[in-house]
Amino acid sequence: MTGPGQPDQAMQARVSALVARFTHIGEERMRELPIYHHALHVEVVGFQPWEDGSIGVLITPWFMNVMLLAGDKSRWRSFGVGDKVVQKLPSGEHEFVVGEDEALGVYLFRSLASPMFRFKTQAQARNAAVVALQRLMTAAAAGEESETSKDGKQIDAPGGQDLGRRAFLRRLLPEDTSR
Amino acid sequence: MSQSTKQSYAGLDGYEGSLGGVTRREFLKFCTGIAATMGLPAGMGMRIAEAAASPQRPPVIWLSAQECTGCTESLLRSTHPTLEQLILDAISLDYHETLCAGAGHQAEAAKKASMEANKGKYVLVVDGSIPTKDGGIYCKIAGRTVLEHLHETAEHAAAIIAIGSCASWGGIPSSGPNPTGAKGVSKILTDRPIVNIPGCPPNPYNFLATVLHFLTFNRLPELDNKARPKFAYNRLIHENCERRPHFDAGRFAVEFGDDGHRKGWCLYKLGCKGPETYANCPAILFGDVGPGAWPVGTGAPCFGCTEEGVGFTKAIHALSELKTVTPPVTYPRITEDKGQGVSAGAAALAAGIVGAAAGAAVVVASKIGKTSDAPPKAGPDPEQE
Repeated sequence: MTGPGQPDQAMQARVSALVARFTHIGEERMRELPIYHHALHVEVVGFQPWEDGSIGVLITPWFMNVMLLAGDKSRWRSFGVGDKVVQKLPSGEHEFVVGEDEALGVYLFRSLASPMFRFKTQAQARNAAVVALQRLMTAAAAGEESETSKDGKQIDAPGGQDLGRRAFLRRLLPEDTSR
Repeated sequence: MSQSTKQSYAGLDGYEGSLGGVTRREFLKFCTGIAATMGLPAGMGMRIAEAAASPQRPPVIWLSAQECTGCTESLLRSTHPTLEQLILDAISLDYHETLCAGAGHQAEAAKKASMEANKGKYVLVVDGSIPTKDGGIYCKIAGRTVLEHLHETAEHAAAIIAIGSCASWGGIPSSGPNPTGAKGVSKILTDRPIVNIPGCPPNPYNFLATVLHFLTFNRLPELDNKARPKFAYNRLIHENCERRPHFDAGRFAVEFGDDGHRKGWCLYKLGCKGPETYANCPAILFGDVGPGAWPVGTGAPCFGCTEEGVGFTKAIHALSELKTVTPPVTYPRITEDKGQGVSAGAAALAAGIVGAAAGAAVVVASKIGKTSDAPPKAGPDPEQE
């Protein structure tokens, strides 16, 4: 499941819809703003199946995010826009933010950049997107996995370790006090 | 149990009860949160606890120059009943114009005595900008200019922390036309390393974390190119903002009180300076009262109080201008080495550290969490990988 592959047809349609929708948003709402980087255009990079949905990077002239689309469109509907949820990826656990658009529905994202002026060209942005996605989707070497514990909402981490507050605090104790 | 652990517990036991009812559990939680705020591994909380509970408290001399006392107020105005005791007992605040019991000659004598007794060991904290025009006559304490006080106190200080935007880069007293020639501390003491903790007010946890870092490791935390601790100032407010999904989708409030404003949409068009201001406000919030307790969270655009050249300089309604100087090398890292980043849970713990005692941690944690990106400036160049 972790390897790159082709998303199924329905998912491919949704990924293309991302491009269409954000191109439209760009034309309609963002173009005139100084935060709009005219050298860039909307593009999706590296979308691949993940769990029941897919993951990839969305580049726009005003932001670049890792985007998570759920296969089941209603999956994250109970969350409010701006809520933060942790997702377990091959590289470890990462915090995502709940986003929503009237046409696309609810999605999760993780900001990679905004504003986008640090990228002079689309190729630079694309290159960064590829690297970022690769890092996210590659298992960290032993001992390098980001140390993460969860205290609040945790969703979609099947098989994840117990990361409750107690377990978290227990790990703070020096080992020799357990005797 | 090792000798050192025994000692650490002895220290903590002595600590317990001496702080107006802070339990060891709460205290450890606090120290863990502080470790998390700084991006240190969770185990460091224990070391911080040991250092903070040590009877060897570092003496602190706090100089107030051209300031409004907001920095001190924010440090004290925490809803947690014992935070101020924690602050005041973890360090030995030997001189602070607002907080010291003595007055007049007595206060000045106490300062002088502490400087003598703790030569080379005390931490100097400065809030407020330093007037330099006309020999600095626009701010005097005990008949001497604050400029003189600063030079004198800094000479034998072990570390110097400039708290608040005024002390960091001049703040509001330095905004045009700057009638007193106000400057930040680092412009005066050019030969000394200064830690800047800008903000108006700065978040007290960023100050506390810096002091505790110094206490624990005997050195200051890693700083950015504006001498700000990286753990607190490494990301744009805009990148961490809970209104970011609205920005992405092009949903903006365009007038105060309009439909978009009431719906909590992005405040960029109202002049929010989040896209050009570095600070951890959206991650650690203010006042320990839970989600939304920061300017943007309450519907007020960020005005860039931490950022020189933005706060008190640009018009509040003006659209955020975007820096184009950042080359692609600043691309943030997506994964985090152990010990560098703050995990979502740990950051939530830090953010809700005080609320946690009141059982609000879960509420806070669900809303907050610092992402584990390393500082943009330290990020590797994707082009080179």
